[in-house]
Amino acid sequence: MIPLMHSLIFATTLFVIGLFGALIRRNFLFLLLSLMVMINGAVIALVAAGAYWQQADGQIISTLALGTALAESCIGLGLLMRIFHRRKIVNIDELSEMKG
Amino acid sequence: MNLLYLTIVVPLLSFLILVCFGRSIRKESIVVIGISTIGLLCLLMLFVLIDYHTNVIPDTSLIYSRFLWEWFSVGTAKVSVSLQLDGLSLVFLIVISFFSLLIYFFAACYLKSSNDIYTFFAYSNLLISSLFLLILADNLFVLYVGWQGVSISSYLLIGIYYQKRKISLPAIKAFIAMSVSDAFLLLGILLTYNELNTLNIQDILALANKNLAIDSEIVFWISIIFFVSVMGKAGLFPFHTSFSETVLAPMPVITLLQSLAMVLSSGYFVLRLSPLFTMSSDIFAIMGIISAMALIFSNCISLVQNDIKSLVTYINLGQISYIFFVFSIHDWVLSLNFMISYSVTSALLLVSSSILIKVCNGEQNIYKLGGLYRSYPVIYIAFLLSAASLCAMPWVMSAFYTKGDIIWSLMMNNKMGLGTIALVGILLSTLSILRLIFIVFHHKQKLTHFSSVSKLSYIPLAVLAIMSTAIFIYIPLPIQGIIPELNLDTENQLILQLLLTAVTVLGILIACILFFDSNSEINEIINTPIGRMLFKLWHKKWRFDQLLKLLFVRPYRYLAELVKKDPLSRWNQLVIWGIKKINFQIEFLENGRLRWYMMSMVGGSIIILLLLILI
Repeated sequence: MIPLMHSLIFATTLFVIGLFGALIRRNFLFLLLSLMVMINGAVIALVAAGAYWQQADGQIISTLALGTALAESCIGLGLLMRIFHRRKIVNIDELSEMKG
Repeated sequence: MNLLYLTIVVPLLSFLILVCFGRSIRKESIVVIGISTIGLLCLLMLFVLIDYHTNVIPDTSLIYSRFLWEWFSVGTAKVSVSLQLDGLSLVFLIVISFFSLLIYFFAACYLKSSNDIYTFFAYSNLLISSLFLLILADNLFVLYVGWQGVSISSYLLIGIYYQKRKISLPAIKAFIAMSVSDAFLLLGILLTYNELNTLNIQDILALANKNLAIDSEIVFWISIIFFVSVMGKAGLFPFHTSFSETVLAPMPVITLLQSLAMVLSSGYFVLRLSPLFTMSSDIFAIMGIISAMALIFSNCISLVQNDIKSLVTYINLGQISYIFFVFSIHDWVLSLNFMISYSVTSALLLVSSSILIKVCNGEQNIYKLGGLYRSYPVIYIAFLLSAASLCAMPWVMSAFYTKGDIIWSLMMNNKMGLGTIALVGILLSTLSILRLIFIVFHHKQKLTHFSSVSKLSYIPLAVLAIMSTAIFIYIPLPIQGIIPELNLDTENQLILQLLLTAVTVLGILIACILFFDSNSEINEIINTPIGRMLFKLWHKKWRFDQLLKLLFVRPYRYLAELVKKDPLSRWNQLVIWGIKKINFQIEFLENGRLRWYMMSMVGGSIIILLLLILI
């Protein structure tokens, strides 16, 4: 049995890696990948917590979260394709048209 | 005498009618309205006079009063509007209504454009109405209303040509000078009320006699404040701005203001409160000194003026100081006599010079006129008469007796210095009026085109000329028991009369030598260094305007500049400045990049987490 603290540290590490990836990278594809990594980190934390408390809730929520991640990555990839098709870029800073 | 209140209402109504509809009616109708108003007023005065004379009941000392309504009451102070008529007010009312009839008549002939006539009649009606209110008021507060009315209507009259900036600004200056007088009057009224708890004039005089000590401090202060206010109204020396700025107005206005409104309203006030003034002896010394200063001041200016209007104005200003000479020896009956004589003389002078200006196509510089005595003998005679009146022509003009009495009583009251100055004043005014006459009527003719004047405008001139002679000097005035009388010692007065004659002859002689034909003696005098300096100084009116500018206008403007920046709003400015500065510094944070926002959110949450964990 892996101790809870270890799996939580692993989950945090994954989450932070994904977060930094999302913050630092400008490439839309890597952005999506980083989001996936973040969600995976969260899912691992959920599963570990569920296993620790001997409850199925964590695994149920993790399947829901994975479903959400799937939908999100589908939409994201679809957007990526449309944007690339139109503008021939994947750099999201150049796509930014929001001005405060 | 039930008609008495109509004397105030009629001109007021006429004023309202003219102000409301004056612009849309023809000139003839305006003239009819104006003349009929003043005619009605004279008729009313005639009724009042007859009533007054038939009403002789020995015990009541001929005072008629009529309560109209209560104005307001605050605490114990009740101010009622009621009219009061006694001999003194009657004299003033008759003088004012009679003279204004003459002036109205003259104005109707003189003023040509309908716009001028409409404003003149409208504002003069307001002036006369407020003069009557001032004279008939039985308490100081109503009198104050009349006093203010005189100020406002004088301002309106002076600024008749208000569209010209050159005139509207001096009119405002005159108004400010008059407002100073008003403010002093209000101050005096409040001080009197504080001391005596009443505003009724008769009560004030009675209570002041009973409760206040003669020459006490409070009496001195009340009388000096009232005196300053009167000075401001009458245009005596330091407050002569309002008087000298009247030259901007058309001639009938100048006549109305200079010979009636300003002098008679202030003179009435002094006579009405004369028992109060008599209680303080210091005030009379001050009056004497100030009037001597005023006499020298204005006569020197009139000696070198080239403009007919301002020359005549400063001559009149010099004559006013004689009224205050009489006040200073508290000979109230003589002062009343002199006031009437002054009104006649100044009106005569102003009317004749206005006809002169009219004849010469509005030319006012005396050096551009000349040799008119052959073509206009009537005007010449009128001028000679007014000159004779000014220089107190012996035994012919009424001014000889009044001025002689003034100087005689000054000398009898051990005021030799003031008496001498009064004599010098006669000499100086003789010189200045003869200078005007000689230059305008005797020198070489320079003007070739003349305009005609309607014969009707000579009628007021003739009336005034007859009145200025000695015929009317001893009319019995119904003022016994109202103002204290002083019996003059008439012994040895012949010596004084001879002295006065000598002065007059001397004045005429000097004037003949200096001004009769354009010779070089006068230039020689002017070209000496002292002469040149004095000439310049007098021509610039003793640089009094510059002095005023230095004393009042400059500091005021300086203060205004200071306050314009508003030191109190400095704090608000500081806050605004700080906010702007900070905004400029952190503006880059808002750049529209989502990644940047996310990063700051993450950073913030990390900081918060760390704080939660560590603290």
